[in-house]
Amino acid sequence: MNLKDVLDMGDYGVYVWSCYGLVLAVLVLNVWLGRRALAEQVLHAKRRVQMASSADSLQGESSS
Amino acid sequence: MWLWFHKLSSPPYAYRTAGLVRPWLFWPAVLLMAIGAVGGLVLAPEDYQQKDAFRIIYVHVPSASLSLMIYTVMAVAAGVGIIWRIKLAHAVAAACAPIGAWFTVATLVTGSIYGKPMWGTWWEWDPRLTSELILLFLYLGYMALRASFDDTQRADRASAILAIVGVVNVPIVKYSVVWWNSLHQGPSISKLAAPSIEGSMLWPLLIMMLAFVLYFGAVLCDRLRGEILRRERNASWLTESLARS
Repeated sequence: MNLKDVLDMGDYGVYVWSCYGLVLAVLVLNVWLGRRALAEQVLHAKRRVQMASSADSLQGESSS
Repeated sequence: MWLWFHKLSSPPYAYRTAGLVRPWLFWPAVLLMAIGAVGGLVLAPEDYQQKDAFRIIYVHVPSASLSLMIYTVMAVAAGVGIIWRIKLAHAVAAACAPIGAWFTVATLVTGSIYGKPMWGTWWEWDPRLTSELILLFLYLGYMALRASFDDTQRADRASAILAIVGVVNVPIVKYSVVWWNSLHQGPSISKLAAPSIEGSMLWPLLIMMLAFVLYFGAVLCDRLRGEILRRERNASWLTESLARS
């Protein structure tokens, strides 16, 4: 089987390769969406911790 | 065993474990997908009837089996969450839904593209196709229902009931080709005693199916970690672990 045969897929190339392309896109997209959702939550959590610590330090300064 | 389950249901332990396990699922999945794709596209012989178009099964079948498997995992997790009131189980169910929805879309679209040269039509209101479309609506309904509640606990309970009720559709999708006259071809590999697929065509399919399951595990780890962080936003363990990092 040479490269042209693989690409042509016996005249079914459009159907076969579009399916593989679509599934590859879904696979990549799911990894990206999962990583992005996790990164967003980590960022939110870090912001909350920073805000809480800065609020604590402000409270400490005003009471002293 | 029970002790391990009990430990795993603790959010900090599950968060750390998911982070550790993820690469051990993801990279073998990528490797197996590459092997399966070469096997399916190049090494497997062409089908005597469907010619090279049959090679679509190497992405269509793993996507379809994953769409059903993910829904089953989601429903079981939702059931565990409702019965034993384990919050982490609800988090698992919530993390499963978007991944399952994407693979149901992939199944429907690749099936439609496969159908055009084989059946001469993009779509037919056939039992297998229709029940798979209902599966997509169940995933979308589950996510929409969760999004409609501000309170996470109420969202968990309501969406869990939908997931559990909807699981009845899983055997309908699976056995639709056996129970009714269908345009869709019958089972080929589930007949374990005598699979009606030749060995040289079967092995890339089995490798791809294993790769997709490992991939799901890896993506679920990321989604689950994000879901745990969202739910545990005020927990002390999270503050401590972020302060350390």
